[in-house]
Amino acid sequence: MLTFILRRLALLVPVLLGVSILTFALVKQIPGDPVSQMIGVDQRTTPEQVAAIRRSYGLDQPLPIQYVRWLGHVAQGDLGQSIRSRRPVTDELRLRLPVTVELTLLAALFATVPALVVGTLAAVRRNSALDYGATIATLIGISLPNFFLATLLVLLFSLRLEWLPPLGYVEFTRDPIQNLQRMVLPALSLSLPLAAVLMRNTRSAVLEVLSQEYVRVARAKGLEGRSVLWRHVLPNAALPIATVAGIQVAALLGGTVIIEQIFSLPGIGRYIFDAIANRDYPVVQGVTLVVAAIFVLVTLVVDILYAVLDPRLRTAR
Amino acid sequence: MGIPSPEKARDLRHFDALLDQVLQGRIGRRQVLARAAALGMSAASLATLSAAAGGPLEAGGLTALPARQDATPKPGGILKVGLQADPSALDPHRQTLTAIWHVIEHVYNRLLTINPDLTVGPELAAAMPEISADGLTYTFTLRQGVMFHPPVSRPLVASDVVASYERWRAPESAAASDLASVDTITAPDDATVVITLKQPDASILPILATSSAIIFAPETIEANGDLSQVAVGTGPFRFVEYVPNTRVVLEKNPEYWEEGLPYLDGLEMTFVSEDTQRTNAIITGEVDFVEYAPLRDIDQMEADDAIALAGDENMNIRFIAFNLTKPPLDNPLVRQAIAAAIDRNTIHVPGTFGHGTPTVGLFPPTFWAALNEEIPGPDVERAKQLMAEAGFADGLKTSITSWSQYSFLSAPALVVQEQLKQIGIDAELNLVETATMIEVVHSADPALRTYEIAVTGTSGHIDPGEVANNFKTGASGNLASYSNPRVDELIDQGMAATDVAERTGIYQEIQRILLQDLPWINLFVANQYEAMRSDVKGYVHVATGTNVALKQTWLDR
Repeated sequence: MLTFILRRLALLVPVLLGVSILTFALVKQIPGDPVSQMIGVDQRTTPEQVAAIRRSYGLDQPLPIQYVRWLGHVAQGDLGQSIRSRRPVTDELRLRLPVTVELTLLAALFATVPALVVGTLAAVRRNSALDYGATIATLIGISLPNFFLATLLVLLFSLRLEWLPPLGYVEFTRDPIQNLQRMVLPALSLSLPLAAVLMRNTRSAVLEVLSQEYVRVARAKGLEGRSVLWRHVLPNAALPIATVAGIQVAALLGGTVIIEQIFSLPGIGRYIFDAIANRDYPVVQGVTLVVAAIFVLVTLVVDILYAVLDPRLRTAR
Repeated sequence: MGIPSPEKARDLRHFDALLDQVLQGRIGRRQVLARAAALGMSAASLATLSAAAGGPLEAGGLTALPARQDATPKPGGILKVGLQADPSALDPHRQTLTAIWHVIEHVYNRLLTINPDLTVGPELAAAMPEISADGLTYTFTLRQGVMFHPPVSRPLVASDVVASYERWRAPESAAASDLASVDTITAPDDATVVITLKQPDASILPILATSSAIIFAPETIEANGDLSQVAVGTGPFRFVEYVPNTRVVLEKNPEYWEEGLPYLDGLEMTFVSEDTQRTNAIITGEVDFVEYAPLRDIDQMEADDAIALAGDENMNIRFIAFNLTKPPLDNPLVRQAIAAAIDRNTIHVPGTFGHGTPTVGLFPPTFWAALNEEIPGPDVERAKQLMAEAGFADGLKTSITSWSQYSFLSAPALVVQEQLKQIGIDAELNLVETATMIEVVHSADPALRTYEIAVTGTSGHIDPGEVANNFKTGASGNLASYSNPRVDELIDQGMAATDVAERTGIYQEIQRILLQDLPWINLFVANQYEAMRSDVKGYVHVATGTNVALKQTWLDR
């Protein structure tokens, strides 16, 4: 088990190198540069002055040198400084990562609890009204884009009912209640599509297990329905559900951009969105690297979770 | 007195409502007249309103009104402000962003300021400068008793102004070109600043009132390296904190030099970039004040008693630009055909939702240097004839480039594309994001400007010379790559002249020549509004888009 974890961790290095080279090449490929944006339109700045400013940020050097220099800093734990704000990328991440993580965890909570319950019930009572209702709800959940759902939620809860503020962010440490009030709507907007996918997966995973022979055996030896479900069905169905949930939640970390924009939340999605628009290269590089690392680590945790959930896998490795 | 007829009663009700808004300085004269006319009010009511709103329409010049204080301002309270964009940093010499300006304008002062009527007035200067007869030496006397905020906490001296301006024009400053005409900046004594110019420059006074002209103390740079994350000035509010993408907190400066100001205890600013959410934020009262009230929601806000609006035409012109290095756009007949084919009255509507004014000249119709020509209607037959004369009777293919981020430009671009189809011009529409737009359309380097036709706009300025400079041969802002020796000459004359009547003549002549040569086809100016809860009092809109009037704003709660 330990060697497995170590091997996976060692694999992080080439993955991150690849991601960073790809990001660097891509972001430099887009036309435009940070300096001309900082000067703005309709100025009297000459091309020579623009070149001088670009030089002062080291942007005139050949790309491989810029990359290697950046890599050298990263190796020492320094993700560099934003061209735009002059703030260290690590400081900014310390501020913004908690926002996105909180949002993701809340969304996961809002999604998994109903998804597991309803998904299991839908499988157990297959072809019942509940099953059909759940199927329709899933269809809506998957088809409804989260930004549209966000607008509807704001319309209902903020403008009509006036229960929750429509936007903004307050740090948890500053005022936990206000923080949660402002996180509910964005988290709900993110959770519906997630819930739909999870519910569908739960239903089919449970159905799959229900058709297994050992379930029939369990029933045949006279176990009542509830204990069949808890002792035999759910533990075996947990594995595929955990896989999907893990990947979905990890993807959510990088998928909050639009919702953060709509609700004016200072998360990493918005940070990298602005950075790409402003061609703030160190920020794009740094955030991509961190998000990629988190993604790899979350999948690793899911893999470890397999072993916890399934004793057979523990001995197999 | 008899009972008024229903019409009369309605008229009176509208009259009262409008007069209230006028007296509170919330809407400008043009809005009043347009709205009153739209409501079908009588000529007598119109005349009264017009007079109340700052004199007859013929007076010329954009006028915002001083706020009339019916009640005595109440000090105290925190105003929650919704800004359109996060500034990301606070240093105006590193980047020239409006978002930065809208935070730091409350913290710093400048030597000069732009008055609501768009004239230039003194701020940290005790009076307007003495200008030498040759127009090259400007001598400023500083206001006495101005204190810097903590931790600097000492009186302002002339060497601070010199240090501030030197940083502004340093080679690595993004705004250095503002001071291109300045030769030396000196401080002969603590209360005097002398600026000498290389050549006369009529735009220098308004430039000294812009966002880059902030006066800070050199100690602040020494302590922090730059001004990215701090702001220590002499303004009505002190900087407390900036949390990126979250909020800016400013508190009242109790030592502020303008007697009795500010009224508010502080400003708490948040950033709301989505238009819909900015409307939601003011409607729900989540904030007390928003800038750039979305034009599509203006009518809704106007109908809402809990919300008051302040606004007028802004100074930014939206236009079609031609890249004159790209055939067939170098052919004047093709440009004339396009000018004849378009319908300005419909182009602006999807961008402004009716809160804009079509224009043929470079300025809003009420600006002093405006060329008030009638808006020509489309003449498709003539346009087709011009296309045939140019040798394109069968039409041509080209492209239109515009901003994907700004619907007030991309939506009009779409209308232009449609209207050009009528004369056989098949234009592909490229909506690109900001960084790309700046490179392929607005680059200072002509080699990088690869666009053919662009639908774009200028950013805020006060002096007509700054816009006119976009047509000077070889100038960085000359996105059309236009060149006309007569226009070059007039631009220089306009910068050298100081008399308003003389300058008006010069800039009107430039605009007439441009209408012949057509490097740009000017389309419209949009209105700009601030929306606030109705208990926010004393605010005055200024057409440059500044929110400095928050220093005299107070809360009636």
